[in-house]
Amino acid sequence: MVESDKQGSSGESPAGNRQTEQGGESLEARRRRLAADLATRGGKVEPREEGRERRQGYALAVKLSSEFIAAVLVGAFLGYLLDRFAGTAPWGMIVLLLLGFCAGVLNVLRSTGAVSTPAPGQRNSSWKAKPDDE
Amino acid sequence: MEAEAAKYIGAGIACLGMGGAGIGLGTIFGNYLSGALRNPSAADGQFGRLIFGFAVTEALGIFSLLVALLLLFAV
Repeated sequence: MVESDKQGSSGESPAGNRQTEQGGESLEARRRRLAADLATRGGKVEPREEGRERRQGYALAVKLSSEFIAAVLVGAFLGYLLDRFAGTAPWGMIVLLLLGFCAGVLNVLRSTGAVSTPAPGQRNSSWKAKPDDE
Repeated sequence: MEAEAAKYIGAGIACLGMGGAGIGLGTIFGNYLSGALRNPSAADGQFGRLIFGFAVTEALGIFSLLVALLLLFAV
């Protein structure tokens, strides 16, 4: 469809006078072709939208799980380093892994929008009161 | 049995607890999805509770992972 459109426009452009003469006719033809194009493209739009939505769902799932896992892994790694260099044998890993877990849950809540990122002035907003505000 | 081998075997057994957390997470998200398909308009209001249940369930899996990591690296 697009190739025929290009051919028509390239065929008309060298002859300037003929273009003005055939203006009404070619406009009608172009309008019909555009209607046909839109009719064929209208059916194609639907599956692409659906696929895009599904891809967005996958992207959201991968994003949430990777945020959670990354926070836990960073907590475990920092606890391991603390244990290794400060010599506090099991306690650094215990405390920092649990802190990493809490940070991961908070990351997931923040990225889903259940908890807003705290502004510097107000840090005391509880997430149960948030749906009433919205 | 040497103590080193017992440490590794214990870490492997402790990681079995994460399978239980996986079963629990599948139950939670599957039930949330079936409920959301039955009543999609009420699904967005329960998302906070979904994440809360996810956190509480995943905490137990994290505990078993913690035991495994402690056996591997700190004991």
